[in-house]
Amino acid sequence: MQAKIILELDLKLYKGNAMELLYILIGVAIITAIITIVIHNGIISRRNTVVRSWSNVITYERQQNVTLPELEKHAAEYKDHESELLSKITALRSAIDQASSGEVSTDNLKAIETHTASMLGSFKVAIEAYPNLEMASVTKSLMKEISELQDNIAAAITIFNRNVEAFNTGIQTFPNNLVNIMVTKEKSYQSFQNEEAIDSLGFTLARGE
Amino acid sequence: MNGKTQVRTRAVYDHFDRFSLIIPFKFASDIAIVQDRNKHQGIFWETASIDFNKKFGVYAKTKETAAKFLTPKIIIEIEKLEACYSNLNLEFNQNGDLCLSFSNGDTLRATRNHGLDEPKAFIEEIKCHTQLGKLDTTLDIVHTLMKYSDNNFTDYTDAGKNHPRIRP
Repeated sequence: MQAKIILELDLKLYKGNAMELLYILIGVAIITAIITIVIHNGIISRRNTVVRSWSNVITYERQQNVTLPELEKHAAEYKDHESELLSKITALRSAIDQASSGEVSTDNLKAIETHTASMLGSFKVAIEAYPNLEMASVTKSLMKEISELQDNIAAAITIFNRNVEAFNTGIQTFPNNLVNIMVTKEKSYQSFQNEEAIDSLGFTLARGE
Repeated sequence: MNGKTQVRTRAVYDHFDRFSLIIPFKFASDIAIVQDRNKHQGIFWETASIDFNKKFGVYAKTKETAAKFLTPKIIIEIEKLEACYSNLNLEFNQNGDLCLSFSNGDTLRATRNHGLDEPKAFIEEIKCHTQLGKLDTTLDIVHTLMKYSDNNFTDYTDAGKNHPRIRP
């Protein structure tokens, strides 16, 4: 009789422990699911911000397309420098047209930056050769606009690179990397680097053995 | 208490004072860029910068107002300003006046080298130009904000009396 009671008690205790364990497991599973959802949403949110900041860079590059035709009109008045400067402006506009705001590709941006530097260099030569051109207030306003656009592009690239850093850190650190491998499956983005500036600096970022 | 019987005390001096500069801006209106995280009037707007969004909340009358004013260069400049101040708020009213408010009380603080114990040196010191580095930096940044938010094809010279540049 006594043995039977002890057996029943043991069975109850076992059932109680099993239920407790089940609740703990369910609790852990729910918490893990919530953490996974939060991390997944964070990665998606940062990815969208990277794409948006990239679109900003392209938008400001394309904004130059509004200003450049006016500049072309003014440059056309000065025949001697017309051919060289106009061809550079055309090359820049063509490079801007090829850039896509949806797809993050830093290669196109490198071409745009090179063409912009070349065009601005030629325009400075034109201004130095023709003081009247410099005096024209519209030309001054156009140059100011292009200069501010360039500053905005530089700032947009800075913001893009910082967003890329935040995104890459977000998918490479633990436990985000596990969520990314199993659920989100996002690849890291490459930040924008100006190779011309790197060449002039004569220094590249390298890691030791 | 350190878990036993000793009691350690630490004096912490805190304040809830706010300081502000009111500056006629004219190139932006109906927008608040704030760190206080209180609900402000207007539509909430997020910029394309993760860092900026962590630091500031943006409230504007319309989304276009916020998008037009918060260009990448402006975002970078406001972040520079944030590095100088704590609890920074930039609020532009509908007339285009900027209220730049913060918790730091050292904007107009200058280092004094002489006191009343050396009257002549003291007089000489207060006669000289007092350099207020933090104010100069702030006004330079605000000037940059103006430069990048005005319209390059509008002639502001006739209206110059109404909104003078704020170079110190």
